Amino acid sequence: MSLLNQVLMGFSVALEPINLLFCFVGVVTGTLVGVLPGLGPVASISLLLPVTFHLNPVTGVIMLAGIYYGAMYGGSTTSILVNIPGEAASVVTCIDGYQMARQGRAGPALGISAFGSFIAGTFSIVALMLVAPPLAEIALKFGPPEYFSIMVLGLTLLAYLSSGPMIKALLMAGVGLFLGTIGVDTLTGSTRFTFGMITLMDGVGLVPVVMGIFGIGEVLENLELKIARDIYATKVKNLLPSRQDWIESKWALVRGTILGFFLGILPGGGALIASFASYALEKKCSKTPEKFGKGMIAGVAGPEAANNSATGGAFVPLLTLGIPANAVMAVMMGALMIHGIQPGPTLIDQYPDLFWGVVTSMYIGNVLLLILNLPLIGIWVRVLRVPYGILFPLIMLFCLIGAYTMKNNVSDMFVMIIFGIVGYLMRKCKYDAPPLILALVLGPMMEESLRKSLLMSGGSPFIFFQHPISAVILLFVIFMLASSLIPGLRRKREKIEKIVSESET
Amino acid sequence: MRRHDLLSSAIFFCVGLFIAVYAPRFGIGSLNTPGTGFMPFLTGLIICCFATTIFLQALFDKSLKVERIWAGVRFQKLILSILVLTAYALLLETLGFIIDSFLLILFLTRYMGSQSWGKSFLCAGLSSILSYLLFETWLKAQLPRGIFGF
Repeated sequence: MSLLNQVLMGFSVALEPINLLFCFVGVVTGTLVGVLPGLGPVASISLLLPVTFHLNPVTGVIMLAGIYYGAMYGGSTTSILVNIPGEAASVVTCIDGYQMARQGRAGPALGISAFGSFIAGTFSIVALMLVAPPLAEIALKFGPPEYFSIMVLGLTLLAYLSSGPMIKALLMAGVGLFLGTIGVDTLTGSTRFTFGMITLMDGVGLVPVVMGIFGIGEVLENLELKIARDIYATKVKNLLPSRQDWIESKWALVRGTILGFFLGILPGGGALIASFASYALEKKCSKTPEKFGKGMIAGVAGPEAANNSATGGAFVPLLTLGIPANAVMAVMMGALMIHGIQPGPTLIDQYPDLFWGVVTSMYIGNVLLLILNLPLIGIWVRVLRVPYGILFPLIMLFCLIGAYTMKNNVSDMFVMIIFGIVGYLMRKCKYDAPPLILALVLGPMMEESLRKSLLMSGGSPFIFFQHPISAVILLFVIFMLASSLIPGLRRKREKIEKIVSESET
Repeated sequence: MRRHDLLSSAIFFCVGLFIAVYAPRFGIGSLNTPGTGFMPFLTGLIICCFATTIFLQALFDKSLKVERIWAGVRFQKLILSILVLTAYALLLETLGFIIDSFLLILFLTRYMGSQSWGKSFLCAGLSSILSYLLFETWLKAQLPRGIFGF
């Protein structure tokens, strides 16, 4: 089947009324989540995961994908108007976006971020369509050593790029890997670390863990914060950017889009890294870098394009290699696996309706977001005024229902509450959660690849260095770990960590 | 010295040590034929290594800045929230979804969210009924009915 036929088939799936409806539900929820501070895309995707249990997998994934890229759109609104990033990837947008709002230019800032997001989102979908099928072909030739090395790379990169100290992120990855081993050993069928509990026979569920750490943990922490909701007192007008605005931001959009897509593909990368990298790049390319931070439209356009483009890129490793690039994709993978679909190189051939349906639904979702975001900004601003005292009980209720409906089992609710407390303590002590989630999902696959590789080599761990692709990847991992010990680079990392943690608070 | 790092890394070290000591019961095997306990044993060692590094880093941290991470914590609110969540889970199958959810939201909005009685009742009523309709009626999830039958 030619590419055009596949795209047309995808559109026929995406335009089915039920898929269209859930695409709409996804992007509206995503925008809402992006607008509301204190609720990120990982938490909201896991909150809505139970909704997908009783849906067709294509419809469910269309909705979850909509939440992800919808959140990137919505996040910019709070960054610009309130100086509070709705989600982490919009942290950078605050810098120049809020300054523009203070200068009475909130309209063009919101406008360029919506158009930039649309352009970048569309580009990343086209690139995903072109890159994914050939990459899946190559991935078919990968053996257990290559898979093991890619997963090690993913976890190390996520730890390297995490917002907290790297060593803590690596520790979290270790904990996640252990949690992934609880339950039945898929190779021998025997159980381990279940302590006689039936709940643990199937392993520690992804849904209760994610909901506990990201949902309950976040709420418990927010209970002690006073979330400021002082919306900048300006009337949002002239949403369409002027000709001059377009001239000033066109190259920022191009650079942000391309950079974002490639950083999104990178295991461990994602929207947050893409937006920071794009801002740094724009500052470097600008003839007037001193104006950044004082209301430069390129400082809004670049990062917003980058974080949206990264969402498309992040689907590449999941749909082709079966390896999630970040925590959001790990939850997405969990959603597919709940429906009995194992993402990997054969996914495109086995489930063409799923792959092409989801990808083309993103086009439709992007158009919906453009329509939603510009005229409905007034409504989103009003949503910001919903008191947290009403919002957090609803989040807690949804988490509890989500954990219960997974297997109609009360024990999963207790698992979720325990991980809620763990998540809260992790936040207090600055342990990053995404490496734990990614490792929990990758754990069983990693173990299988490791044990198969050792069986293949007759017990020689050097097999990972005898396969060229695996060797290159592992050498890169070693280089990365070693570079984190170089004092100059370490100081730079610590400086970035400080900026991120300050802007998040 | 970062006390919370010292404490947390010591806890993680104990967890890692427990895993590494307990894993051989399942059979570690050999590099030739790794057994069921091989991966947990390895992860236990990894956790111990990283926890030790964090502990040493915190111990030799020369900065005089003391991070008071528990300074703004409202322990009463925190503990009460956890207890309410636990009570919800314990009572769900007895009281049924609607009543249990109504009570949960009412309590949280009124006492934790400091909303008025009117708003709390409205919020509790709407959210319990709407979520019941969404999950039970529309998505065909089986929510517990409890002793009252709904």
